[in-house]
Amino acid sequence: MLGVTIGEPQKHVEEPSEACLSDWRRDCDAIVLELPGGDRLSARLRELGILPGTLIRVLRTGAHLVVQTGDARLALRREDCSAVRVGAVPAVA
Amino acid sequence: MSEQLPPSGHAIALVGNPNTGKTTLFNALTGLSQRVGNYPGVTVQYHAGQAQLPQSGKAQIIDLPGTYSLSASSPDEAVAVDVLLGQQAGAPPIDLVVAIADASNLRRHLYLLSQILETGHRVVLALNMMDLAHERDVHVDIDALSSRLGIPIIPLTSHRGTGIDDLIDAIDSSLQQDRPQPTQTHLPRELIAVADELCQGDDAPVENSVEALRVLVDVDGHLEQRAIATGGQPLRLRLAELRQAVSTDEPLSSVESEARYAWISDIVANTLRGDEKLRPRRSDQIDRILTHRVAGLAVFILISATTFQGIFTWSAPLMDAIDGLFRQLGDSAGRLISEGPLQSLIVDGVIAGVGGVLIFVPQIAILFLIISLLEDCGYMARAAMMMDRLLRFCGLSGRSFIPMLSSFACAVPGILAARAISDRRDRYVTILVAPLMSCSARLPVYVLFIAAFIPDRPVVGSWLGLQGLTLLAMYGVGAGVAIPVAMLLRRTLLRGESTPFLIELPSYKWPVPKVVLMQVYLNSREFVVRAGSIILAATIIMWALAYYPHSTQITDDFDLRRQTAEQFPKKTRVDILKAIDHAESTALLEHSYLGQAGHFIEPVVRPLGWDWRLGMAALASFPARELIISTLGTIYSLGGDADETSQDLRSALRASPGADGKPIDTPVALSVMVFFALCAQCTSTLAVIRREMGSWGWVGLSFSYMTILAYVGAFVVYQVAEYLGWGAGGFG
Repeated sequence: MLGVTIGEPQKHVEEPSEACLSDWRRDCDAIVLELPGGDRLSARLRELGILPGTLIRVLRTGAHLVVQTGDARLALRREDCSAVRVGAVPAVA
Repeated sequence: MSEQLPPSGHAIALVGNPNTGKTTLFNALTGLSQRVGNYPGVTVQYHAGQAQLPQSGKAQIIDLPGTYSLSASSPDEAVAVDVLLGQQAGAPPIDLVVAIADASNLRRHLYLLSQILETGHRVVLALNMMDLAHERDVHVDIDALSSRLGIPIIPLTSHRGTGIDDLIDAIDSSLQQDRPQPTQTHLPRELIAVADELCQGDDAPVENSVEALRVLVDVDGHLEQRAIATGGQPLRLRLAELRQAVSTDEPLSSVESEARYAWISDIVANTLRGDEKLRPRRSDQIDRILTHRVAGLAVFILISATTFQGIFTWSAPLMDAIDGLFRQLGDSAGRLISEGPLQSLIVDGVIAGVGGVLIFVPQIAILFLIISLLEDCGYMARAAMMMDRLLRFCGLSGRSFIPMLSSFACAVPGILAARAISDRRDRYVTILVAPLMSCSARLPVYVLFIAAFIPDRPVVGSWLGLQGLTLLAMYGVGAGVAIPVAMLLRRTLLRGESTPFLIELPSYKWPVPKVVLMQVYLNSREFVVRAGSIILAATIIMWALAYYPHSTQITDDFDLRRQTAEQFPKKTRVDILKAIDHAESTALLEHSYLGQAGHFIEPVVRPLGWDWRLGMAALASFPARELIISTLGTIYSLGGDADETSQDLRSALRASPGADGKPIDTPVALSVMVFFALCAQCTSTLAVIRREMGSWGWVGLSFSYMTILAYVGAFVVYQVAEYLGWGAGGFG
């Protein structure tokens, strides 16, 4: 990835509904689906409240992600997030 | 040097997440009574101060390191747990805990609180940043929350000072009450049972259930390692069994987190409103630019350049003033004390030594001012994020950024700043590599040799000349060499996976003057007291080596010369006498132990293009780099007062013979500068390394690798520069 994406590339008509956090698009709410078990990053993310079911938003993409959870912004390396799976927020009926 | 916390009155621990205004609160409660010291036996600092409570009297406030949870991932956090449990040597048993939380991010802050409540301490919750929460439409029903949690909750806005008095009252009345029962917080029964089991029995590996929980949950953590140090393999196996008994598919950390956040959801159910949606904040807009791949980097470079420029230009007037003051002092002392070893000791040893330390205080204070401002306003976290990529390449992480940056002023506070790095290997590599960053003390060497030997030729128009470029190159040498050294260390001695990088980006805010100035004061004081005392001692030792053996024959010879000078007319007599004085100093120096050592090592430094004088000056600089200038001044008969701007010294250097007997030129100058860029010539840095890394082995390694690198570097530079014909006017 070449850094912060300005404007989404026009690739698909349908946005994927589920992906790795490291591939998630910017400025789009997401629900955390699963965190890998034993690694240290996941343990810290869980302490900070990022658990399956938590609402997050990616504010920056590139070599480092900035993820919003609640009112906090966390900076992480992109490759550390590849095992975290997130999905689109289910539409409210 | 570990100072015991003075036992006085109640002991109150202050805990909370980072970026919650805890420092501001601590300052408000303790003011200038703050002390920084070390707990005995560990390389962790404590911050404590005194406060006066209306009813309960004197209280000692202990500021524990900011942490998100008691799962101790760094030695700092492990000590926090120990202090809370009353198990830390040197810390008093805790009577009350003040937990500080951010009202606009309450859920996450309640995580740490849930762990604190399990310790059974009296707790008062300070709910800070109420103004921000209000702005974001987040509403906390304080009374309801207080009764759900069973503890007093005081709303605060610490940077405005509101609520502090109410907090003090709440602390006061809580201290009058009995300790509460430890709170149960939704942890699964199996986990609690297993933790209890671990601390039962006479030979239990841990003493209480809170520590037991940490040992079980934080696999391979600091507390587990400590327990296994005594319990050995049997304990390791037992822990594995007990963990399996609680959960076979999920790690216990996951079990704990889910349980606690379930409890938190319960607690905030009817007490917290408005945090369901993700809201943008103004800082997000600023971050669009400041963390942008291109624009953000540009801003960062601009800030870094301004920092460097500021350190050197803004400090100049103050440095001149200090220099002038100490010269005066030296002159006065010289007049007051009669000639002899005492006079020389006081003037050339003590006064020169103290002056030599204090003259760097302006630069260090300014660097810390800038760092403090950037940290307090929130920018540092962004800088660490952007630097992470580059530092990653060297085997480090963004967390090493501040220690490295600080080391450009002085490695001592830089190395101390490395305590914030929780990963042990990262921290050690940072400490070993930080002294390669060209500190303030190297600058006079660069200035002197560049002015004397590098022509003032423009390279990029009138904007950047050869001299400026060379200076930049010298700084680059240190930083450039640091990269392969760090990579090598990370692959050999300090191998292993490092902690994943995770840093919170706080909201941008205006820095609080009191907090910033307090940081500047504390860090500068640290430099003067810690580094300064060692530099002074080293200066005095070097004075002795350069004074003794004091040959009366030489002084007699020169006295004879002085007598013959009497026949000259008064005007020229003064100059002649001065020249005789300087020549006498030179002769005495050459005759001293230091001078003899210089001659002794001459064969060793000849490949670098140096003669015995430069070798001697380099030797004199080993205790403290600052010493080279005055030593050179003395060798070249200019008196020890010559400084790096002295034209006489520059001319003297240019006329001085090098290894081959011809006058020294650019290649030698380059080799001297490269040597100084890379060599470990600072006893205070070595002393701090000993403290932070805990053994002389690391000190030995640090000293050896840097000195060897310096020698090889100087050798290569000299030989290459000679080969390229840069000597004898052929430069450029």
